Amino acid sequence: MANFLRSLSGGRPYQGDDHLEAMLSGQPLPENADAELYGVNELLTALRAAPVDPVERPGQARALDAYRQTFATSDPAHQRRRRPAMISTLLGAKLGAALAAGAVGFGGVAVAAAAGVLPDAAQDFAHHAVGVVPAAHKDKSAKDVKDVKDVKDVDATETTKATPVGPDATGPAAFGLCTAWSHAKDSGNAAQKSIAFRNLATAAGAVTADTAGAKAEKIATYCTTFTKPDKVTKPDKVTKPDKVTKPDMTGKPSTAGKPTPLPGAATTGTSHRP
Amino acid sequence: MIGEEFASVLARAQRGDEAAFASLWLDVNPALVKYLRVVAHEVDDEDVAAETWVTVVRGLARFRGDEMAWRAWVFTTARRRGIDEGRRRTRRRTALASHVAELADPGRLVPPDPAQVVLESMDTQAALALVAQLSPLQAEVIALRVIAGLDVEAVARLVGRSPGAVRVAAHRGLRRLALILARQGVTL
Repeated sequence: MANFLRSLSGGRPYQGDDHLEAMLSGQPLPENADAELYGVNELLTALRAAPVDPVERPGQARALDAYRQTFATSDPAHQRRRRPAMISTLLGAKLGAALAAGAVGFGGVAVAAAAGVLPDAAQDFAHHAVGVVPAAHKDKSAKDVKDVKDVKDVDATETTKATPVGPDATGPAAFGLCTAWSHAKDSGNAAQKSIAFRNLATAAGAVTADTAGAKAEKIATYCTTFTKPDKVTKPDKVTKPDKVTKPDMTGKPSTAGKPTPLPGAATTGTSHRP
Repeated sequence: MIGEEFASVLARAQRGDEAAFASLWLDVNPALVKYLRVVAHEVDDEDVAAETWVTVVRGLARFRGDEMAWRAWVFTTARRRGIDEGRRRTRRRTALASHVAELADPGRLVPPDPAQVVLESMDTQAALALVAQLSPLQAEVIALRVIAGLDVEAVARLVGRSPGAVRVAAHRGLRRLALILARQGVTL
């Protein structure tokens, strides 16, 4: 006690600082602690004790009211999950992966090209290869751009509904198919086996061919019957243009489940209204 | 202190789980009220505590930190509230003065050795009254260390002093308390 009181009067430094820290941290006092510290330790224990004070209950109600007002619901069972929907992300990823891997094949590209949704360069290639509408380049005349847009809007609606059965190898897309097939054959591209080329083979009667060479010969012969269709010109309405080259066809293309005939290619001479 | 479950309880409270928030409130509010009784004179400590929770709830969803950081934030908010309210309200002196007077009753049994003062029936309210007799800094530092359970660094940030100054203030406060108790024993 004497030492402790002397330290308070400003004398030598107190030796029990570590004991004080122990008390402040809630640790038990060591046995060699000064006796006067035990009273202080009990005081600190009383400070820490949870009081049984009924006055605190109104404060709890106020706090909970504030909480309920700030947070929408107090029932965790009714809380909406905030995780982003995975379905659209998964579908997007799968479609992207499928297209990237070429699983849909040339037929799928033709579908996209017919809808006019490919990038400009690819759209132009598809235009030349398959006979679909060209990309709406800015250097084209305003008339053409407008035409393409109108046509694209209309055809996109119908074409996107088409099932992936490939372009009609007997219809106006035949010339483009033939061109693409020729390129693929020359480069040894495995895309020859896509749906579109199968349709071409069927139309050419090459399915029953014994060898790949015989099959190719039949397709080549079949393709000589097709010429490149003219460029799309402005229709009066959203119908087929007036001046077109009528490609030879072996049959009237059906519309069910296949891409619709495109403007720029006549069918049976009647107006094409998509 | 909640301990290991704190992160889970906090996360649930931040998602609207009322029971989780109630756990947080039950864990901290008693200490909050006691702290305000020590440091915020002239205020209604329950009222200030409730206002503290209103502010805490508004920022609850954005809070990030462990339990020590959580307590430091709540007590910082309470301190600010207490200071704001300090000059407008009078402190409630209900049982504090009577408790202190009871301890000083000459008829009360006390040990013969004044060096071994044993506070047989020291309750929380009396303890708070004794701490309130210290200097403002000493009282607050001891309240934050002992009642709020904050460490030296957190207390230093809260009161705006260095950790060394906080340690010195706490130690001097404890020695002062020992002296007060000793004198009480002597006077008895």
